[in-house]
Amino acid sequence: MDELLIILVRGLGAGAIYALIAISLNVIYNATGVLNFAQGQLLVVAGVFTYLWLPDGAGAGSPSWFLVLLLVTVVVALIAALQGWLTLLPMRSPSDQHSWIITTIAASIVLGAIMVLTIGPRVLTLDNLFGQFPLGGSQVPYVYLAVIALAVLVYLFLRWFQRRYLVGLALNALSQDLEAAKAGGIRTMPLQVLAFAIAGAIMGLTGFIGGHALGIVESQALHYVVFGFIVAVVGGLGNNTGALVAGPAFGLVLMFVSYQAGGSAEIPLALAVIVVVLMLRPEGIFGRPHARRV
Amino acid sequence: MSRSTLAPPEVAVRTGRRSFLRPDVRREVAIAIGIVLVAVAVPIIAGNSYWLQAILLATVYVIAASGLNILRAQAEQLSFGQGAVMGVAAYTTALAVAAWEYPLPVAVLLGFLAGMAAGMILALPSLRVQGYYLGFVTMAGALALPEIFFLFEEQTRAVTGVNVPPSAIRDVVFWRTEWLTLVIVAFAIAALVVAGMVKSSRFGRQLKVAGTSPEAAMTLGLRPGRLRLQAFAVASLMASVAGVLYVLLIQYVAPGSFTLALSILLYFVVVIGGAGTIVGPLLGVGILYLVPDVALASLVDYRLLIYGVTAFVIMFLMPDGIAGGLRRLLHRLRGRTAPVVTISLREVLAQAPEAGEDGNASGPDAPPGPLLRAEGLAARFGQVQALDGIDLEIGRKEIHAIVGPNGSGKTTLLNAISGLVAVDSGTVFFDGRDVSSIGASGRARLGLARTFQTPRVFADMTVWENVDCGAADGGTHWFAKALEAVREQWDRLPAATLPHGQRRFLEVARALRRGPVLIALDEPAAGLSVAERKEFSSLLRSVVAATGASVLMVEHDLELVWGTADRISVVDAGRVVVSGPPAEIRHLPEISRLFAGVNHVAG
Repeated sequence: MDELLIILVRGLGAGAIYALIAISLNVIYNATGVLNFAQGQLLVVAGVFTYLWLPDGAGAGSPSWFLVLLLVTVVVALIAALQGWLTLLPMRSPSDQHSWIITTIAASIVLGAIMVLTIGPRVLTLDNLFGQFPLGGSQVPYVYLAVIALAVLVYLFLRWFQRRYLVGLALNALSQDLEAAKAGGIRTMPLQVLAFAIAGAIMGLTGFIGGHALGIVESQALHYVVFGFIVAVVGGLGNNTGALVAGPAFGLVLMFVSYQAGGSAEIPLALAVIVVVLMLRPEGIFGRPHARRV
Repeated sequence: MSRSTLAPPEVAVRTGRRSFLRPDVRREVAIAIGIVLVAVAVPIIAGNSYWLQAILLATVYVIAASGLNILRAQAEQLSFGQGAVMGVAAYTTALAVAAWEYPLPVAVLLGFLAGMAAGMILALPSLRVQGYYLGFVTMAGALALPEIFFLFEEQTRAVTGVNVPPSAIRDVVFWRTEWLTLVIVAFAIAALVVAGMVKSSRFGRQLKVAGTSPEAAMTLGLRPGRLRLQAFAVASLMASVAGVLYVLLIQYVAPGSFTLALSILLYFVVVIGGAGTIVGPLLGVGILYLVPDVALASLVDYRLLIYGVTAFVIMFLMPDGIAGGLRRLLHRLRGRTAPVVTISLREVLAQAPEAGEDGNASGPDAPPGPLLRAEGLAARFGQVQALDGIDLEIGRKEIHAIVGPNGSGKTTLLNAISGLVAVDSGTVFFDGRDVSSIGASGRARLGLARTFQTPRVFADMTVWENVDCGAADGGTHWFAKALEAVREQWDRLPAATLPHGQRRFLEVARALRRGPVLIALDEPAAGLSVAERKEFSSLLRSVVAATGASVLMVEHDLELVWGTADRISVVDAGRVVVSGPPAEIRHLPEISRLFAGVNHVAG
């Protein structure tokens, strides 16, 4: 029973991180049609900056803590914006609309190579920022609860932003119909770069708040993207509500199975989940099949 | 520029006998084979075994990448699982030799079969989805593979890896050359030739159609999911061969040899080298593997950085990859301008046999009653009731036009009849049988053809290849035989330069080649000039007269409709409002109300 409780909290927490990755993938996908393979590496980058910049013993709530949070978020957002701009440039020529598959993976490889060159291929363990609480006879870091809260906040913020502000509305318009938005006189490129920046900011926040729960290492980056993509697909690609629900559910299942069968079973199980979902319901659980344009 | 420089006479002369490789593909295959032979021969002659080993491994990668190239360029599908398939084949072969102690030929066979099985399992979702979905699924597969090896550590010896003892295949045949070198070169040549054959074949074109436009593929009687699976099978076959050769060459496997990085390398090799070209994988392996891993081995720390930046920069400068970019440059240097292309269906239709002589749809064996009867078709998309109980009858040898305001459900009706959209309720009888439960490709096989509002013309094929890319069941009809007369001519015309109006005719020719009994046209006159509309209108009449097929068209050009159709149905808000011959319905109030302000309706 106690073990189940711990699996519950840790599973939901890990799932919230996957949900955040999925939401950030959705933000870019809706605005550009691109699935950013470098998104996982941005999460790792956020963790590395947190590790490098956060002073020892800076507890939650101290001014330096908040400053570093802000700094990490802004810097990762800028890196994402730059990466997005570089990704979108070659896509302007209609001859290859799929160059992004190469360029986003190449961006991930380059970011990873820079990290290995500067800090080496080691696993960085981030400080536990929030302390822990006793649960079922063991100590559980508050981090797991914090990332769940972060996922909900990011979700609500995006909803509010997309309805309240003109820029948000314009982003929403891109997701409805990119061609029509272009024809309607919206300058798409700055908006699309903004979408990359927002997605980068989400990864910055996630890396800072949730880094302790992950263990930061460059080689895990594609692993995070794939998990984020699985959550996005299960929830319905582009649908943030779906991602917010599917993420924790997916996290719970993974945590339970790796508790039973060991950590090596995690990815094979994730593979099984995505194959089964795509075979049975390709549009995802919250996505709905739309009229095909013929 | 004269025609003769475009098409060398020896090409034009060769009729009747067709080779497996198109002339341009044959040239490219020859170049690719030449590169492989030279690359392997140089280190042998120089006596440099380090470079020989590196080149042979690169050649093994070329085999796997050539398979992936077919998947990527021909079938337009994404796979990051090619390295994983290679890994399963290699690992199984190694275990079969070293752990289970089978003789080498048995081990090789087991490894090959295991690779194929892994490839097909990974490809199963391709029956349902395509594109980047498959990219992520296969990527998850490639990530999972090393973990699976570790899960079954006792059987796979994942921690230590598996050593394969050297075998007789490494004996020297003649002067410094081992059997294995010959085997690898032979398989590389075979892979390049197969890639060229697929590129030249109708199968290759079917893959292309299914990958670029699944709807168009279905209306040509193709099954896109099955074709995607077949493309994966070809790719897995080459990956499995490469995996087996990898073990024979390296004599050691560990889970770390087949990580996602290998699969990504193979994908990059294809796209950076030049997807869809035969030499592309060779150039890609050279620049992404040989240069950073072998030539610049002293800069090992910067390997990944060089690799990532190279991929990025090449994608930036040459979106079609190195081979694609070079080809474009060559064309520009030679100053080739595309010829203005015209095709004429009239000369083909002129060869129609006398009525009733040969396989006309209205022959005596046709069942009585209308050709197509739709009853109570209803379809809803979210809040929109696109079809609200449609009844429709199309007679034999009839041109039936559907008109109505925008958003009234015309195209949805066409899609429901051709099976592209699943209806919520209603029945469709076609040629005397209930086809409601049959999908689009099944209905196409029964003789229901279809064209699209935007013609589905595939720019990197010739005009002939565009015509000859459907399911292979329509070749005996007289029209298909008549088309053979223009085959040579049309095969020299690139479809990319075809003007819009001609693309319409091309799509009609493609539809007719399958010998349909009903052709559904979606806004065929859109984008045509006045002269082309006239021509199209008389073409429709000749098509019906010559083939006995019926025509169902959705059209906004009321002049064309009133002058061509035998029967007109007016659709509004998902229902048929009026239906009848033009003369009878011309003055009905429903017509004038729907088309108020359009003068030529009444006149």
